[in-house]
Amino acid sequence: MKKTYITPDLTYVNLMNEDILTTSVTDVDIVLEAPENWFGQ
Amino acid sequence: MKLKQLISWVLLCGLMLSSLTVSALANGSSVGGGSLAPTADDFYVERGASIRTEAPYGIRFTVNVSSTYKNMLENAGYTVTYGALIAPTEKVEAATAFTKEALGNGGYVDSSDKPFLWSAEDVDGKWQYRVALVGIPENWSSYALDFSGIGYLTLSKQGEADKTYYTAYSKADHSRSVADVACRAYEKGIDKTAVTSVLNAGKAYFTATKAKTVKSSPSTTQDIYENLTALSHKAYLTALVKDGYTLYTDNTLGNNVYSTFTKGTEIRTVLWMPNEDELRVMSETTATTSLPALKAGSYEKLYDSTELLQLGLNAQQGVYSGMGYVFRLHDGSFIVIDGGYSNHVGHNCDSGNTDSGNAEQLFEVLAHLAPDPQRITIAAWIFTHGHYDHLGAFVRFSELYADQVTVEQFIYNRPTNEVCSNLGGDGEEERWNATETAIATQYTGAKTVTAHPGQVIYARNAKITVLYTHDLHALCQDVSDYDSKLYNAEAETENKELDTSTVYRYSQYNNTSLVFTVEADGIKTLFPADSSRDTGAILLALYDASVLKSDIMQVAHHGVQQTADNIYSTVAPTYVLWPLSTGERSKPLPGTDDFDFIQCVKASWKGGINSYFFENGTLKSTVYLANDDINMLTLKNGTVTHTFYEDKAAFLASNENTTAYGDIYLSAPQSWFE
Repeated sequence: MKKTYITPDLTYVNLMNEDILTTSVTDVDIVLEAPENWFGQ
Repeated sequence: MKLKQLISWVLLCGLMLSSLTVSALANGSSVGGGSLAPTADDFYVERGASIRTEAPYGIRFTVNVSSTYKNMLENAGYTVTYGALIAPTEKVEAATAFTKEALGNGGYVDSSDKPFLWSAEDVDGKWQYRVALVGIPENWSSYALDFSGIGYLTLSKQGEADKTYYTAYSKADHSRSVADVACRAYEKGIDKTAVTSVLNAGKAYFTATKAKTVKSSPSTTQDIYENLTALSHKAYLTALVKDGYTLYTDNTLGNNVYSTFTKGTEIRTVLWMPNEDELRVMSETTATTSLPALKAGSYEKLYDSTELLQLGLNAQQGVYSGMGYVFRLHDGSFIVIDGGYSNHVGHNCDSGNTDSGNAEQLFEVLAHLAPDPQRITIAAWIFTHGHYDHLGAFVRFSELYADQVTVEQFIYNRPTNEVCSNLGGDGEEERWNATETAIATQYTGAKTVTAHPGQVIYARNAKITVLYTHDLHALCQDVSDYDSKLYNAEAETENKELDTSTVYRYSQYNNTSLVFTVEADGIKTLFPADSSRDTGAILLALYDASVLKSDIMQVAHHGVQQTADNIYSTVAPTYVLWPLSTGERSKPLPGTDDFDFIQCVKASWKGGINSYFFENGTLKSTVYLANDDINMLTLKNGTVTHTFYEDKAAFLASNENTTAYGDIYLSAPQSWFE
């Protein structure tokens, strides 16, 4: 007799869920400058 | 290369190479060739992005490397160069791949231009580095621009050619704008200048005006905006966050973005449909509607397939149309769609009939399929619209059986006379009133979810996605024009036996039908309910086959006076469920002579519909009419198996309630718990 308890792995898009918000420490960032021509006038 | 194809390819390669890596390590052999490729767990960009709150401000992506993988490379004698690229998402989507070569000079910025830094070293089994893009101009068009991040590593070793591997990329996980991240940061209580200045810019940018305000359901007020630009939607969402709302969930279907925000008891559902240049915002409160759960909860798996049943209509008692569907889910609970015909409340057709037994049939089917007939659980009961042949059976069912079932949630959207001018013409208001009274008094533990487009609602192993509600039809003048064109174009090539005034007379209330899909066990089923031509026009305007394509489809409005024919060729169903009685048992419409529905369908609609219903003038073997039959489709591992029962008695005599794992259920006497 086989029984399984499962939590379904259902895909959904949810921006809030796992965005990274470790914003306090900035001295270990590799900082890159955006080219000006990426932005409109 | 389409982005989805690229993602699938990368993931597939990742899976294949993953097994090679594990194999090489397990047997202790030297690594080389493809076995060096990282798996999705070894090397990945974290989902989402963050914002630098110290100057220079910017958006930041984080790359992770597992310690195990990093050590394996070093032990194998490789020199590893780690890096990351950031590029405008628009450029990534236009390129054949997210690589330096595909994007070309000027299409990306590369961390190899800067000294490398680890932001975490062997913490919780992984190493981490972060790459931030700064120099973003302080204006809304720049804040709203989406950027994508991807990590890469290059392996070098004497005598071998360098190898470069990239992390897997998906737009949903690895593309964000400064505005996106600032909103999420603000919701978490981060109100530093770098964040609030972005939110203020969004709020200032949103200058679109309300074109209309509509009370589209008793619990919903809808604002429809005009004077929009492509940047208005994100600005509106940002302004909501600045006003204290928090994103509850969002969903993208085709080009459309549907978002739900909350603030205390207030709910705002924002519908952005760029194809139609439409922004609609619906306001509700938690006092009158429940929010759908974001995920299905855990459950006990009793069955390894999902059963989808089309219920018979009691045609022999004179019921010519109706609709009732049941899904039995993996734990033995159910999704019920409508339930079938009854004139028990508010019915003025077929006055010679009472309720024709659809309520009794529904209960008997549930009891027969339930692992324990004494404990029937309906995980979701969906009402498509208020007509007697759909909603009719519910009140009767409730009178007879409410104390024998548990309903977890009801899903529907009741229209008001602001979206449908012929409310009540066929007893719909009376029926809705009785329905809502029954819900409030006889299912006190149930949630009530007001359905809106874009919602995803989970029920055990099934995923319900709402594509259309009458919210989209509210004051949608352009669609009415489109519908007329559609009808005239088809009428030129078709036998016009149907009176066009009849089409529109019936179609208006049917525009209040919910349209949704149910996905379970790798099979997608589309239910257009009684969708009329207006609804079909809206569906085709909003969605293409990437959204609509389904394995199984219910025939809209019983096959007559119904949705746009082009829907069928877009959905391209393999199996068709037709909620109609016909043949010798069919009965005439009230006030008409004998009327054969199939002949009517064949004569009137000669477009895409016939290619899915008929073959050389006869019904295809994969088209299942309701009649008095019960058709059961077993959904399992992406396949469908059909079982036919000629009537309810034959079904109840079957052994369909046997659990896959052979459990024997014994019901405890109620007296034990008193």
